[in-house]
Amino acid sequence: MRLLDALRHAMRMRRSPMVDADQAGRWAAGEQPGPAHRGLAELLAAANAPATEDELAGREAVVAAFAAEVRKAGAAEARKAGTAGSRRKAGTTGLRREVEIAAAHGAAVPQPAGRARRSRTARPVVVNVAAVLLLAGTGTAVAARGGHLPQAAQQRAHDVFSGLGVPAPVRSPQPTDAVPRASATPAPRRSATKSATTRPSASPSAAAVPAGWCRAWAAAPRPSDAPWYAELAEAAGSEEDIAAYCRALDDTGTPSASPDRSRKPPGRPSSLPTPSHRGKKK
Amino acid sequence: MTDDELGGALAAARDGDETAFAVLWSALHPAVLRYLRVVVGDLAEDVASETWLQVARGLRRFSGGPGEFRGWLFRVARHRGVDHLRRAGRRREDSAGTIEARGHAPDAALQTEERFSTSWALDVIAGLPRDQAEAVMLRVVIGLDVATTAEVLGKRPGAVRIATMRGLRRLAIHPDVRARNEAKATFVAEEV
Repeated sequence: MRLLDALRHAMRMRRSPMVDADQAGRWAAGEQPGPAHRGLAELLAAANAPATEDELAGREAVVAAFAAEVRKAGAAEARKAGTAGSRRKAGTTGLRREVEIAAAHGAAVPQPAGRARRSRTARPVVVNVAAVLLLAGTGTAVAARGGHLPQAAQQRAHDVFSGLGVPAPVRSPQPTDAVPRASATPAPRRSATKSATTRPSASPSAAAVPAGWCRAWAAAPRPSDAPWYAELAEAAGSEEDIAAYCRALDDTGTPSASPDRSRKPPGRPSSLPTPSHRGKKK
Repeated sequence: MTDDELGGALAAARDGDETAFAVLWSALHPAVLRYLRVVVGDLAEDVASETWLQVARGLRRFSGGPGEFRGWLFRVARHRGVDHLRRAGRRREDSAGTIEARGHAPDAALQTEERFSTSWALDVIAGLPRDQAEAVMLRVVIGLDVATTAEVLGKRPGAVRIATMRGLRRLAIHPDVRARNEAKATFVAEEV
């Protein structure tokens, strides 16, 4: 009976090997988990799977916000250049009027006219600060408006933010028509991954992702029911082509090449925690 | 994306090129979002949007290469995320646990996610102590180097190495992860 217990114990140990500090240290230093730790390799590959359309859905809104920042900066620069004459009038937007009215009522906001004379570039800052004050709904300026200003200010702030390309009233970053937009996203297209069968290095951003799957596959090169395996097979063309596909990827070197390979055990195709997100290390 | 390409996009985006900014975003947003999912859970999308907005505002004044940009981006993301956690923590003073403060309970989510899907993997990593989860995400999953990871996390490189090591070790003995190893061993046995 004792022998049986010992045998059972040995079997258990063989099946789920202990993870000693050395082993974990080697992983942390960049070694890829081997076949005995296939689960870990698969988990890391799954965490690093290609971006989904959902993840890339907010692109338009963010780029619009960026464009608005660029325009704003450009306008500030133009003002700085001293070409502003009638600009003052043009800059008197609804919000600005609101600010001036609020200031006249309560003086919680500094007199905008005086400040504008001092520095023209400071004006957007003044307006922004005023917008924040109005948004916060505090101070005598707001009180002076008899309590209905907060809502108006809120609306005004929305106008300002939508001017920046930020859809303020909508909490979600992507608009309702996100799906058609997302499909137009150029980044990691599924089709690009497929075409990589013939030219794996065609697009580095497309190739970088299968490299993560290839590492998981290299850890234990046999079929798996994990989502990444099906996708890898699809990218390679078929399950039989996976080996050749991953070899080709590794040969082109781009996705898995990394400077500190000192710990790499010989014979394994790619043994580093290379960033398979397009974000590579320095 | 190689550092050269990223560097090119970065330089153009700094000059105000929208397409280049879109390239930067497409290349790095998924990583930011996944990192934030591990840190703030369901709030990740909101925090990621704030992060990119801040980056869009500050990009003109940014000087540095792709490596520095990655460091800056994740530093902004982390600060934003930690701010959210603090606010959430203040709102719910009674729930002290870090997992609760993250805005979701990984264990509950784990049961509904398909095993070895991306969401599942992120939930498992989110179940680690936060310093380990962050180190594993930035260092191993996203692939920042030790120095950059240390800078983002405000730790010494040695501490990052240890947190990464402990995190990986803990992941390796997660029941689902171990079951995977065992399944493989059985497979070998059948083959032989």
